[in-house]
Amino acid sequence: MKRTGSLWIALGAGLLALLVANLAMGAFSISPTRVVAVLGDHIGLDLGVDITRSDDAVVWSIRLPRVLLAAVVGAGLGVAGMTLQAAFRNPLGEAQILGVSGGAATGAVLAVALVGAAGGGAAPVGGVIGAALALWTLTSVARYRGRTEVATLVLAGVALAAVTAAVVGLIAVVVDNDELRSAPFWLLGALSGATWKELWITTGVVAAGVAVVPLLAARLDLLLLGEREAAHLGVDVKQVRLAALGATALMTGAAVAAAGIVGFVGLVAPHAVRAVLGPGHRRLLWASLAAGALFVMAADLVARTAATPTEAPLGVVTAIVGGPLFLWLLRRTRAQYGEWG
Amino acid sequence: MTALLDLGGVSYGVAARGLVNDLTLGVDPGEIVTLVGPNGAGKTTTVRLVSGEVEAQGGTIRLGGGEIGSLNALEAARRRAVLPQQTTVRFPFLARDIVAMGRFPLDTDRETDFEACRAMMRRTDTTHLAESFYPVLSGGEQARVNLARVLVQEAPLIVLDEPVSAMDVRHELLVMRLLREAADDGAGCLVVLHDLNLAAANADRIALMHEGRLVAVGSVEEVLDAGLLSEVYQQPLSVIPHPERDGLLVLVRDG
Repeated sequence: MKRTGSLWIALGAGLLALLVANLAMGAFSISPTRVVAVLGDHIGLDLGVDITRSDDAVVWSIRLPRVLLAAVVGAGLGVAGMTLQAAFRNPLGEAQILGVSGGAATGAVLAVALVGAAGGGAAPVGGVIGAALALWTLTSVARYRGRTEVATLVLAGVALAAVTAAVVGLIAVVVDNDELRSAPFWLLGALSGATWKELWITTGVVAAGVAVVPLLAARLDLLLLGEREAAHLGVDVKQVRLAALGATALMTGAAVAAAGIVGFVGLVAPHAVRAVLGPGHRRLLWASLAAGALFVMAADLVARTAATPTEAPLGVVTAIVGGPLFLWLLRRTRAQYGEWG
Repeated sequence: MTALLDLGGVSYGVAARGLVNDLTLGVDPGEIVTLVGPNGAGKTTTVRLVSGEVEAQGGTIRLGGGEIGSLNALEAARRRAVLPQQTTVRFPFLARDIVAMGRFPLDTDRETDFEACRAMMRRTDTTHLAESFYPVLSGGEQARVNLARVLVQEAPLIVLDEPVSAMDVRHELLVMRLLREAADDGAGCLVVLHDLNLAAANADRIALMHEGRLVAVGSVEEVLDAGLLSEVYQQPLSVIPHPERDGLLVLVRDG
């Protein structure tokens, strides 16, 4: 109980601190006081601090949509990872590892290439369709005699990730379209150039996916007990898996359309909070959401500031930080309750 | 009285191999029916048919009077609980979390659920395991936790596939005692057992399967015939009166 409370406080405080830090730090440094004053100004609160026009432009038009987009992308990827882990009963469930992010990137790139400049919403729509197709491919390959084979699932994911990355690279190089962002953006991830419009679209689609998951939480718990056992207890397993994977497609599709492929979030966020909260999905869901947001907000802060004047790719930062963190989590988990089996 | 389970001429096979042929068997409230037979006799397939994991290719299966195909998962779960041979969990649920999952099909409030789980953990000798991670428990401990999960489901029909195979002799008897208490409360139990003596000591009726068919069903005295058993198990067996109480003992005969 005490550990649980500390976790929620840490997540909340972390999110708040990272919000302010992301708004304050960068090539053009703004003090936290002026950051708060800009925010206050926009909700009609005069805090008596002098703010310049450029303070306002940087905080409100550039950094705020970007940090919020980081939070939404991270939240979506964190919950998507948790949901994939439950739907496939596999601790290695993660959008990038399973090729779902690759599918989403392919869909988004294709959509932008085909619809062209007219498509403000083309990328998320394509991303969701691409993610859904990747999930469909995964299930048809890895499900055999009514169960999901653990090794086959991961192997199929590795193949999907490789193929989709190649396709994305090819399209990005071949197609001449100003709207289409570069191959490094899609394959390594980035949040540069985030706009309010992009934030709203992404938030809408991610929220639609997240909203499904609380309805499934108790059933996802039972699914971890076993598909057979869940069915014995009255769960319509097919329906729950379909809903869970549908929600995953929405969350991953929108997140990748906005930020490209950002790995490890869906692995690190759920596993880190699971170590404290246990595997019950009712609580795990919101903690994975917060931890995912926290992770990507922190990673983007590093991506923006570590290599000024250029930016490090976001996916590179999440991998460099997330990889070792995940290895440590694996060791710790193993010591606590044995192997994954 | 409606039978809790009614199998009428049920058949199921895979790739032209009949795993269960023309099986007719019922379970009534208050009785323990043990299902015995050599490996490959069709016992586990019968459990899978009753639990809805596979669909019968012929015949009818009724749970509490309702055709199994016409019940949705939740309705079926309120009529029968199933204990599979083994349940592997890769995520760190506590033993008490696993037990609590048994309450999922019921519409009772949290307080009732909590009390039911606590009482059943005491009865299954798992209270001391409540705060342990399920994946690190021994096979016998996991089996008892799962038994508690199945019993808190409070289904009228309880189907158990080799519930004692991982247990020591004390817990073996504990399980059979719990099933008898459930039967006394009006439940019906269909129990797959390997140990013929355990079956003999605890069954109201024994059903003996061989090569997918039911070769005998009835009281312990009717079914435990030395000649029949020796033929079915392809092993000379003797049946003698129990030296200390009513009942029969099955012994392996040499040669």
